[in-house]
Amino acid sequence: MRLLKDAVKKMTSEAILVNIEADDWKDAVKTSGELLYKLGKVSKEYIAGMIKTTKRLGPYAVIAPGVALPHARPEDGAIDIGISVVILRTSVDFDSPNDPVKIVIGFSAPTNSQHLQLLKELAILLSNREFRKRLRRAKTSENVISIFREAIENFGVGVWEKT
Amino acid sequence: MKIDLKEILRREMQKKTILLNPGVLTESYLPEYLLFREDEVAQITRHLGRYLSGIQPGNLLIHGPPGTGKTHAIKIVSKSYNEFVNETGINSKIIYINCKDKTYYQTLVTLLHGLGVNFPERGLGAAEAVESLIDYLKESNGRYIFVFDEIDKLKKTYRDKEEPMNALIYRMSRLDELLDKESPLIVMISNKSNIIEKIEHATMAKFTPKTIYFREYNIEELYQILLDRIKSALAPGSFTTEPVKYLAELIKKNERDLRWGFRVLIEAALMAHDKLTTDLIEEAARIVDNDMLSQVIHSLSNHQLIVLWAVSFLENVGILPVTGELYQVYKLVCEELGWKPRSMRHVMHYVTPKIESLGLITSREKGQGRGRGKTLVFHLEENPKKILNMVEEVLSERAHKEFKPHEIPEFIQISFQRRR
Repeated sequence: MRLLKDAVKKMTSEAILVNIEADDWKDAVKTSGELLYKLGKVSKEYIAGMIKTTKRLGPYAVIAPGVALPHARPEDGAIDIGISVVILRTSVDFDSPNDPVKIVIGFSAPTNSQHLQLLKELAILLSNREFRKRLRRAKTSENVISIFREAIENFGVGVWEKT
Repeated sequence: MKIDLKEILRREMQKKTILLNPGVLTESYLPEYLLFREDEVAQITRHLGRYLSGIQPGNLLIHGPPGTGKTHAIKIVSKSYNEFVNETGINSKIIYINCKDKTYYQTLVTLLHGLGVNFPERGLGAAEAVESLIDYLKESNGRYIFVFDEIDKLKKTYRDKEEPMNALIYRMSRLDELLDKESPLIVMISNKSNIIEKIEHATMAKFTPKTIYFREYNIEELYQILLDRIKSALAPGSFTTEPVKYLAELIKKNERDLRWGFRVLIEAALMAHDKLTTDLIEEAARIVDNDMLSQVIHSLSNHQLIVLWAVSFLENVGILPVTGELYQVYKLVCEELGWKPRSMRHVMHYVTPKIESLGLITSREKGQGRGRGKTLVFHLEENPKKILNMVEEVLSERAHKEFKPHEIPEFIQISFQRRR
């Protein structure tokens, strides 16, 4: 959880949007990408890459029930390690068995090894049902940050067996 | 370091081995007798004997699972038959043709060559070949028996309008109509359990064969056959009955046949220092299986390999490989390797059935809920990790670049999928 721990430590409310409406899955992915762009973590091209990868992944873009994890390849314009969180007011469909999606977590990493590492760490974090449940109910950006921080701190102390 | 290849050759040549007569354990070895097939062999011989006496006893269809002695039975009978007609001066001959991977035309040409007719291998058509056959048979007063082995494995060409197997059976069983005299006796052999259903009604109406079924051997019979061959193949005192019994059980348990058993025996004997043991049999079975699996995997086309990889990958990560999900993964791999993906229709109609016919995967239909139609669920018959490793190696060779899915984000994301 090394990379994720650092990223969450640096997480600010600028990387989070709560209670947001999205027209469709593309709009939701774009919103999460724009948050990363505004923070200077990715280039504009990266957002297009996120939409392209989500399309390529099809049903697998939604990594856990209700949670999509859009990302592009580092070479598509990743500048720095970053995470964005979008909690939707109304869930959208990604054409996946894990629909409807309420949480969209975008991320970026400048090197392939960091990208893979961050992806694995986020995937492990999202495999926890309790974490997903709390995130779904988050009302504010601060709420989201504290849920992430708590989860990282509690990692490996038993909570993680309940997936 | 320089390797002394001659020394390796010398060492291998002089290596002490318990395998004295490996030929006895090969597929091409024709034994003098067939254990537990005496009735079938006698039945075939009686049938041919009747034909020899001037009666037309009807055609023969010999069928049964692979490795049950069908080909050996007909070869043993043929040997005695040809010896007998030579000794008695009867103008008769058995022509044996293995149809595997031959087209209808090639089969006819092989038959003509077997009869001693000079006919070009290329350039003419099946109609001309049949014409030559008719001309030859009209001229000849010999009584012929045509044996067509593995008839279900005839190759269909793009020019063939009908199934080559049906075309061959139809033509051969209606030779009398063109000859105006008694036609040759036709013997067809197949290991397909549904061979009779595969022959069209119109063809069957005239073919009307007497069928002889070769059942599978039981464990005791397998044991006796293996022991009988081992006695001629291995050095005296190099084996006990225990590993032979174990091999017979392994054949039955793993649904293999005697050919597999003989391959295992050769492998185990080559590894043995002075004695064949159960452990050696087990180790040899693993080697032979891997070898056979590797050969099958290498024989697959690029797209068949990718589909096989996709099924193995999804099974390995615990996702049910249904049509849509399988195609999605297949497409991702194609993109990764820079190969143009085939359409979903092509994959499901042409690619998956081929892999299924090789016994690597199975499929079943599954309803998707009321009003949502049906989908196919695939299942891998082997260990997914083993297949993944083997296929990744072959794909890397063919794509001229390393295919390392564990370093590709999309595949990592799929492997972490959590479903409701």
